[in-house]
This record gives sequence, C-alpha cells and structure tokens, in this order.
Amino acid sequence: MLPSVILIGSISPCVDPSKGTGATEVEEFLRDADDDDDKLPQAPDSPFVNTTVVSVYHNNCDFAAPPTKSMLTEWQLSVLVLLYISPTCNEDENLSIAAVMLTRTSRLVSGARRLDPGRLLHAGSQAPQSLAAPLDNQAPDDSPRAVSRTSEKDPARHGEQHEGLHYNIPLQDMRTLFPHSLPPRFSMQVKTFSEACLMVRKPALELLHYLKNTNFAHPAVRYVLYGEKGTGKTLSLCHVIHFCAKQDWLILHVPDAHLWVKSCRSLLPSTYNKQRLDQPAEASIWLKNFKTTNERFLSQIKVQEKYVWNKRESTEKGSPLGEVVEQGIMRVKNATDAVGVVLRELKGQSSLGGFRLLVAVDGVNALWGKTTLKREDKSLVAPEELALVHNLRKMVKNDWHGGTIVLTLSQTGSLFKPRKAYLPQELLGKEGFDALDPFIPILVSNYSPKEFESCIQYYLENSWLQHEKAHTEEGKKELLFLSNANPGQFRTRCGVRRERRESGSVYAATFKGPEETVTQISLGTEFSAPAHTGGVRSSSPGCHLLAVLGPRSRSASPVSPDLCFTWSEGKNAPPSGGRED
Amino acid sequence: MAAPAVKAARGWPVLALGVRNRLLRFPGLTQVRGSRYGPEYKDPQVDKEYYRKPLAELTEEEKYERELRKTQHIKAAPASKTSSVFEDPVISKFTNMIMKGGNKVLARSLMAQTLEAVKRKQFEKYHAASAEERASIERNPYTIFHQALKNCEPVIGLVPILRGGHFYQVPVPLADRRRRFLAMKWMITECREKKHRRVLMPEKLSHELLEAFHNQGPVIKKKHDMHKMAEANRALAHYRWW
Repeated sequence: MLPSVILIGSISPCVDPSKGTGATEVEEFLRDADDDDDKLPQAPDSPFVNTTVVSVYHNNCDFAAPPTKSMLTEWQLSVLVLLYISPTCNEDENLSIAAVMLTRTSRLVSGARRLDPGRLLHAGSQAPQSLAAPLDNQAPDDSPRAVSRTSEKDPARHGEQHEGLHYNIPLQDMRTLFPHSLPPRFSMQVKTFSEACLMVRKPALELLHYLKNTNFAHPAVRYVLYGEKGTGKTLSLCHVIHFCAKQDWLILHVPDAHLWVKSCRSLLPSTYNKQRLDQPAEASIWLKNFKTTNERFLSQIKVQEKYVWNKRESTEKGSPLGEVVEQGIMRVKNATDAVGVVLRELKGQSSLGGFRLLVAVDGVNALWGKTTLKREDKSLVAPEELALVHNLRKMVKNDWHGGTIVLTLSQTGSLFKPRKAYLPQELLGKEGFDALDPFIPILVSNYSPKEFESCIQYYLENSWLQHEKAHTEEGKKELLFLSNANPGQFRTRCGVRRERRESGSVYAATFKGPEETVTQISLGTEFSAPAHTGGVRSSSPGCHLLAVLGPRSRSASPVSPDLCFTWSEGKNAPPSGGRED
Repeated sequence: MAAPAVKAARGWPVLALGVRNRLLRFPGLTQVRGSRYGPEYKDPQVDKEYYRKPLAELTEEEKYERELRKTQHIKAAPASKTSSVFEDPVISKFTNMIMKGGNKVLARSLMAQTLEAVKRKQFEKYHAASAEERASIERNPYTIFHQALKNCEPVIGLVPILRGGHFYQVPVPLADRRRRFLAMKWMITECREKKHRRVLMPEKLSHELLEAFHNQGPVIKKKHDMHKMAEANRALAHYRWW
C-alpha cells in the first residue's frame, strides 16, 4: 500500500506563525474536529487523528527573523503539507478526505480574515521535491523575485510573459559570445555584480519572432534597430546574438563600426587594391574575437578559392577557414585582407545551407558617414577607401540568402552628427539609406513603467542602490523623473556606467549621484554656458521646465515652496526658448 | 509687485526694502560676502514633509508658524538647495569645496564618481569576502563618507595669537563648523597634492575616504599631529581669553 501525500495549499495569513508554528494550531483544530466526521467516509482511524502537519511553508520569509506585524499581514502560508497515510490507495476517497480536511482548515481562517480558498494539489505518491514547483507558482506577483527576474535562460523561449524581466547569461557564454564586444559600461556592471543579466524587452522579442520565422531561401532581411540615445539598442542586439548563438548560427559581430573610422594609428596602403587603405590593428582584433565566438565553424567551412598572401604563404582551395583567420592574426599586415576573404567566403557559402549566418553590426551609420582619418599628405579619407568598410558594406547588402542582417544605428561615437539625431534618415544620410533600403526599422524606446520598476528592483536586489531613500516611492519617482525612463541615463544616474564627456553630455546627464537636484538643472540650463547649444537641450524634457528659483526671483514675496517640488511631478514642459526675464 | 509699491508708499530711498545700507558709510568698499537680506527675512523651508503634514496633526505652534510664513519675507532659496530626497548638505558642502573656478558641473561629476568608486571597491571586497566577514563590510558610500569625515575632525585646534610681538600657537576648542571645515579641507588638500599626476581625483579621493573610514591614512595622521601640537603647546592655553 502506497501512502498518498496530499498537499493542501494556500491557507491565508491569519495563522499566526509567531506562536510557534501555525501547524500546531491546525493540528489541534483537526484533532478537535473529530466530532463531526459524520461526513467523512468510514475509515478505520479517523483521518484527523492520523494527520501530522509535516511543515508549514511560507513564501519568501525567513523563519529565523522574528515576524513583524506587517509581515504577518502579507505572508501567505503557501503550502500546508499534510501527510496523510491513507490505509487505502483509493484516489477518489483520498481526494474527498483531502477536500474535507481542506474545508475544515479553511474554516479555521474564516471570519474576519481573508479567505484564500487554498488550492488542492493531489500529488499522489510523488516525492516531496515537487513542493518547489507549486511554491513558485503560487508566488504573489508583487514579490521582487517575480518582478525583476526570470529563470528562463534560453532566449528562444522568451515571450510576452517575460517582458520586463531580467534573464541571466552564464559568464562562460559571455566570454565566448562577447569577447570584447560589450559596451564597456555594461561589462563594468557585469564585473561588479558578477552576473550578466539582460532585460527582455519588446524590440528584442519582436526581432526574435522575426528570426524564428525567417525563410532562408529568401534574400537576407535587414533589421535596423534605431532609437534615441541610451534606449538599449546595443543590448537588444546582444540579446539577439545570444539567441542566435544558442540556435547554432554563425555570428559575424562588429561591436562598434565607429571604431573603424576614427583614431586609427596605422593606416597602410592596401596590398590588394592600391586605392584602398588597410587597418591592421582593428582587423586583427576583430579576427581574434571572431575566432573566439565561432570556434567550431572554423574547421567546418572550407575555402573555395586559392588565396596567395605573399611570396611564401598561400591558402589552398578546400582548406578550413580557420587557416585564413590564423593567417590574419599572425601576419598582421594581411589581417584586413583576411577579413575580406572571410566575409566573401561566408557570404558565398551561407546560401549552401551548411550554416546560418547572422551579420550583426553596431553603429552601421559609420559605414556611410565621414571619417576623421587622414593620409600622410593630410587629405581626408573617405569611408569607402577603407578596405574594412568596403567589405562590410558588401556584406550588409541583401544579395545573399541563408541568414539575416541585424543592424543598429548609433549616434554615440558617430562623427559629425548632431546629438539629437536618431532617425535612420538623419544618421545614415542619403547614401546610407539608399544602400540599406529596404530594411525593417525597429524602434527601441525608453523604459515603460513596468520595465523601469523591474530595473529598479534588479538594482535593489543586488543592493546596488545603497541610499536609504532609494527604495521608497519618493526616491523611485525622483529617479524616474531625473532619468526620464531612459535606460542609459538611469544607469548613469545610478552610477553603473560612466558618462561620456566627449559626447557633450547634458548637464543633467553628467550627474551620476542620485542627488541630482531639480533646481540644479535650472542653473545649468539657464546660466552656465549658454553657448552650449547642444548641451543645454537635454534629452529629458523634464529638465527644461524649471523656471529659475532663487537669485532670479525679484519679488520679495515669500517664494511658494510648492514650486520646489511640484515641478518634479510635471514632466511635460514647453522647451524653454531662452531666459525668462 | 508688492515691495516696490510699499517703497513708493512710504517714500523710502531707492534701495530695496530690508537691504542693508550700512555700506553707504564706507564708500570705498563693495559688499563681497555676506547676506544682502535684512534680519526680517526668514530662510525658505524646502522640506516636502513639512508641507505634507495634514492640518489636523499640527500643534498650535506649528499652525502659528505656518500663518506667520504667509506674510513674512522669505529669502529666495539658493539654486543648490533642493527638496530632493537624496539631498545631503554635507555632500553639497564638500562638492562646493572641490569646485574650482565655479565649475560646479565638474565638481558634481567628480563627487559622483568618487561615491561610485567607493561603492565599487566595497562591492569587490564584499564579493571576495566570506559569509562572516560580509556582515561587517559597509557598502553604503554615504555612510562611509560621513563616517570618514567625522573621523577626520580634530577635537582641538591651534590659533595664532599675538603677544609681545610674537605669534604663539595657542590650543583652542573649535566650533563644530570649523571642525567640519578642517576635515573637508584636509581631505581635499591631501588628495590634490599627494597624488601622481596620472591618478584621477575620484580614485584618490575614494581611496582616502576608505582609509579615513578605517581610521588610517594621512588625513587621520594630520588630525593626530594637530592634537599632538595642541598637547605640546598646553602651556600657552592661558593666552586664550574667550
């Protein structure tokens, strides 16, 4: 005879755990209720006498800590485990007995308190480890664990229900997928928290949906992630890359195309084509990262032509791609040409179907912008004269199939583009837009309230927000206002990333402590450096709204103190055209 | 506006009501520091909680005070004072002391980077420590900052007093604000002068703050030196007349 373990769940919180365990109370009650077992089926022993309340599980509470009054009202006794050793294996009978027991115990809690009609789980003769699952399912939605994190580690299974939640990428994967390709601020965050958590957001989910339904016989579709500064385009791209890596795609990731068009120390005339220029350093770095990410493909893919590097070295037809990559890494002079070869081979062979190719370029507007590189005779270099850029442009054209192209526009790090520009037409220019046309634009916007709350919860869980007021409603409202729900600004404000000085960041954006003051912003916008046309107009419209309090007010009447803080509530203010006099 | 109307009615001179016009007596001097407000001007109340208290909870005094404030003259709140929950007067003061040439932007960012650096260092220590040690590691940069400055405050100071043609360093009890000022001044001077040119200020400041938090480091040493000198000059204490 197998004993049945009957789990009865969710008795509501009036059972006072401070008096020992609520279990003893229930036990007593159950023993006392021996009298009315007229409704129970005849069993040799009364079921109540036999019951032992094995344990009382509480959601999210620490038994060691003494329960406070507020905790008592919030606790939910999630699972009251009653081990009922039944003399029979009759399921129906056990179920009915369990139902009766449940009604009896819920009568215990009826009356003034809320009645939670506990869910009856008949676990049969399962092992008690199954307790963990029902506990999670019954977790109330407002517990921090549910709001900010999800345990779903596979991006392929992310869906609408995971929106706004953080999922963990194992650090081992991070090292292979993103050897040096993460935005440095995010990598600092990863280092501090010793974990890499990405938030699942709508644009990424949309992209994943498209990727799952791609038809590889059609030419590669181009998706362009665009949005204002700091909204999360790069990290959405990282999410997509993680998904593709899990699905075993070949990943061609250019972490920041802007790095190729500026501050290059060594520009060599190209060996392949006299008009173009080589960049050995950048090319070799890229090859190393490519090798780390796609180790296993390098031996599978075979080169389809013979390549002669110089008098002594050449790569035969049919040798693995890994050799080309090695050649590029070892002979830095040939690195750019090696990159060109790799790109050409991958483009040619992706149509054959041996692998699926993901081309991910961050900051693709660099390919069609201007450069700051100069030749020895001080003449400016156009981007098409750089061999790397030339080859990448060919890669981004949609004349191949068997993969996808996901691109990100980025004003950060771009050259000669206004700070406010974020639309594809503005950043790509006519040439770039025509080259990329047709593409599917995906807008990445600021955090929704749910996402923002989730982000704050994540930081609070990691104890990153240490100020004692940070977890109060006031503090959260203030952070929301000051960062305008912009993910980048919020991270800067919380001190998780450094602000960039060179991008002429706005007065408000340079403040990283959460002590950013409302009137302080006004000081910046109105007084300091009116020549800062780019700097003054901050991305957060809330910054504009402040009429200056203080030295400007000429009236001797008592300054209404309401002005100080009602401003923080209002976000929609007309952009101040200038000084208010 | 009310004020000019008042002036016109009473026929007072052009100067605004309540502005101190004592400097008319010293034509060569312009008022550089010091308040232009008269004594009847009250400080502004920026605390949100003060205004959120419902009327029922106020005591008689508080009700009277509220009524009074409606008619009193109140100074304009300085631009650096806010009703933010994250405001800290000590941090504001320290930031002002770091500021050079009126560059508050830079000073604020340095301060924020310092706090972030302190936080990061403590987090690193926390992750590296075992479970027992973790409870003793303080990760809140604000508490570390306040405690460090408190540890650096000297108890007794020296004041040069002129007697018989010579200046003597006389030990003297210091006022609270003087002590806080000295602590901050020493911290900033130490970080400015004794660092390598390639080391950034936030890094050095965070290092010094952490050392002061543990009662070590050059700033604490300076405080102890000050105490020793005061102890050594104990004999001169009677030169003090206040």
